[in-house]
Amino acid sequence: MKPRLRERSRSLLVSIMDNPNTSHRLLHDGSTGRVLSLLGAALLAHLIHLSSTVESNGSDATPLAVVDASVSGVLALGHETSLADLYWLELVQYVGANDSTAMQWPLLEALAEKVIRVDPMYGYAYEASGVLLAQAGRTDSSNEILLRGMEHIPERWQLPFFAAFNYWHSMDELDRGADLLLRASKLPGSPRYLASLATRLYSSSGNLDEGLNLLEGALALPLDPLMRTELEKRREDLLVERVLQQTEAKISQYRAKNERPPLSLAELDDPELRAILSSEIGRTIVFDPTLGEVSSPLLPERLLVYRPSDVPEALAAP
Amino acid sequence: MTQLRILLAIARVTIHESLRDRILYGVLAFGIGLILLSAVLSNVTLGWPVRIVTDLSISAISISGSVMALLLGVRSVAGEIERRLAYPVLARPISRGQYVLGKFVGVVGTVYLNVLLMAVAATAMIASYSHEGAFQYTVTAYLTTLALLLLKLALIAAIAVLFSCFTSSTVAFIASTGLTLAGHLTGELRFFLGKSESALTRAIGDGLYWTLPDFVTLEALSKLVHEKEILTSQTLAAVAYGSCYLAALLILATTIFERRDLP
Repeated sequence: MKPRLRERSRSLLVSIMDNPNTSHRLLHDGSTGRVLSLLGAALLAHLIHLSSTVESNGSDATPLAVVDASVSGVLALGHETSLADLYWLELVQYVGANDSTAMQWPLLEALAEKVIRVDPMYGYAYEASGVLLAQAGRTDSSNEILLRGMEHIPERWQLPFFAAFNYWHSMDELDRGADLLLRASKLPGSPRYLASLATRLYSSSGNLDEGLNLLEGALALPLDPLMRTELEKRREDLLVERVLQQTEAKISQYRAKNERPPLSLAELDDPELRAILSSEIGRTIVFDPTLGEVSSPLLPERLLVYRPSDVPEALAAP
Repeated sequence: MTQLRILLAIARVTIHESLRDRILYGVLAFGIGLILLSAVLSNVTLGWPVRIVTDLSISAISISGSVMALLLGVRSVAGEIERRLAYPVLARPISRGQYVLGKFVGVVGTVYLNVLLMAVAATAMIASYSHEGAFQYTVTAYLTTLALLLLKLALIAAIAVLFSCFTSSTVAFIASTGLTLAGHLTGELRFFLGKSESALTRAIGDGLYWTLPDFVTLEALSKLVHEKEILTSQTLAAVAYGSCYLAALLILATTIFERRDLP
């Protein structure tokens, strides 16, 4: 600022300060109108700036910067959970305002990280972020966040449940999904069908023995009576399913060799199968010679699950 | 008995004076505004609105209460001396210790009255957002959280009164605000100073951790919103810690004020 201009500004300021009627004059000599006009113009410029920001970013909810969560956690000064809530709201608004298919939510991981770094016990944040990331097609990130949640909140059954769904549905790793489902089924508050679903996954993956071992391990632990009954039932189902699969394998071998199904199970004449069929479960096996299929009244529905990889491409969802 | 009556008389006058303070109503309005805002914010969340309402409401009480305790605490003694209102009182047969304690009780009483108003609003809000009509949390857990918060506010008021006993109100405000902030960061201070290669720095970190008031100890909100059990043993330990620290601060404040040469 030039000295002359500075001097003029200063004298103007002094004259305003010294004059007791300044405020009165401001109100009545038209200055109020000018001030309001300037404020209105400023507001208009602000609105224009905001709308141009929305246009350039594609959304008004895009966060401008993702600050280091550890720093903001320190600055929360004992109100970490409240700060995490505000970060959570930021994430929700971001997700709500952006189309997942178009944007793939590129900042989702960073925003979720902010929430869970400030409040590592925020169970719903792990859960919802995991589901959203899976929806955005980033299954690895989804599993990473869900597994981290399981470390911090091992008692929340929803976290292993959603991770299991990812492994099953998106990654076709039924064994891993079954392990996680079994883990979820043992947690308080989990729905009773989880144990059943876990056994189906084990069955479909072909790792019945692994499933049985895990169930035996679970049953060796102290459990609530209802859960124990449920897991014992699932073990029973897996044992029946194992016998059915073993019998089916022998029938397949017979078919391959003779190019027709056997007329009865006795026709198979296999010592190993005879031993299996002489067991308590084996005696319940019923053979349908017309279809060449086996069943057991102990297991009205076979333990198989839908596998996305088994669906023909023409029938698969777009 | 007479001594207690004197103390309570000073406290009563302090409450009356504080309630005339307009800034108090500004802070109260801020607190209640934040509680109401929590209801608005909970409507734009996903999943669990009662958590947002609880978090923001209790934090609003905590922040507003802390600001009130600091503002009223620093003006309680220093402000009275600066305005020369303390001298006629001290000229009477009242000990300086009684005066300081009376001022402290008055400040805490005023803060608690305001906290009560905010707590009623917060509780109503939480109840209205709880599932299926039942209150979201157990009464014990909720009341424990509020009780520990009250103790924390008393501790902040004691810090403010302590500084107010030997400095001007402005300096007391800066110092007690700094100490209150540091009291929320003792763990972080120890962690970061503990990273130093210098043994002296690490020792300073440890020293600060053990000597500064640790307000995180008096914090149960995170357990409340995560619906974790608030253990009785932990609560009792926290109450013992807060009470002992509070008593120490008040004794220090009265001792300093008794030995001080008033201008």
